[in-house]
Amino acid sequence: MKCEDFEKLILLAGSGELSPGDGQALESHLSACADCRRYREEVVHLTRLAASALPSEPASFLVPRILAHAGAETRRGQQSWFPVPRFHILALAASLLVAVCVWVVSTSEGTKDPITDMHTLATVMSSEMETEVDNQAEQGAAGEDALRKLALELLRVEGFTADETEEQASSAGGELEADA
Amino acid sequence: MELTDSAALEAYRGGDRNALEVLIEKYKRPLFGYVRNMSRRKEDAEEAFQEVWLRVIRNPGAFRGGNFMGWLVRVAHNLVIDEARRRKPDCSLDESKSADDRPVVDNLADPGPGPSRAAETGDAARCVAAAVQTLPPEQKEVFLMRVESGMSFKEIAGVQGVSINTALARMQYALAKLRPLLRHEYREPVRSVKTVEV
Repeated sequence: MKCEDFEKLILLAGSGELSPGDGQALESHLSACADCRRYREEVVHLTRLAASALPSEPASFLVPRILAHAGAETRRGQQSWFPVPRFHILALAASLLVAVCVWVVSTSEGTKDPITDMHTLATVMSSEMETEVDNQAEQGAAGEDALRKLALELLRVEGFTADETEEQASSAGGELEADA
Repeated sequence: MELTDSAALEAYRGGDRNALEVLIEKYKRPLFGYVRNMSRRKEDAEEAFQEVWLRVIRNPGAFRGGNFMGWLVRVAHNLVIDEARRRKPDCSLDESKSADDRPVVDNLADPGPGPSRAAETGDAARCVAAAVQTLPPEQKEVFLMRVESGMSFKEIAGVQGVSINTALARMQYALAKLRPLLRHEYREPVRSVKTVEV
């Protein structure tokens, strides 16, 4: 091996990557080669000088800023388990279900079986509430869809035909949009 | 007992923010030393440093064991390359010359006052630090990864996507350019070294 090859071994020895066999060969060479001994000495000296002089200290505000980001990220992660919009949708749906049940009982003179009607409405609502939605836009759309289905079911219970219920639901939707 | 890096990261994933702080404090100097000396402006270095840690925060599971410092530098290295491409969108780091005949990523690093200017002050350390800034980017990166970040040549080769022999050769060329700066400290002349680019 040439001195150039032993320079590589000197560098590998410095990083702790030298095999025992190469280590022995290097020591044997160093004992006989003044140039390589000096190379090793200069490399150690140079790296110490560079490490002491090269800028490496981050500004004092950087670490606190990163930790603040981490805190915000943690809070966001905790919130994502209980998204507020979904709570609103569920609360609205539950309130509506109760209101509808009361309304069905109070206006059930024309129907044969108010208990069955209430059960049907509750089934519609619960199936809608179980639908998994991930983002706010989807939650809003799912909520509107649930209300529309509930309205259609109410109209059906009241004895409207399929065409009439669609017409009523459309006009009700138009009024809702106008109100909004 | 001191936590291993993987255990600290796992603790952070479990909600222990102090574990993250320990990791940042442990690696802030070697990581910032790398990005600062590879970036043209201090602001770019601060942005890259912050971005590396934000990636850890957003996706701690991306680290799949091994040397955490090496992984951080790998992320930083990619950011440095992205920055170079942003400045010179039609060039890659592998192209040694750009249209104006200057190395592409020379646009990233702050060349500083230069070694001769630092030598006038008689400060050997500053002289060496200034000379490091004038090294070709690939050589400077190897030097910084080894000296500032304490990475092994195997890890350096992995980050740069080259063989260990190439990483070692780049370090040799970098040292060959820096050793003459120590001439005044050693009586004998230093052995001449070929200056073939890798």
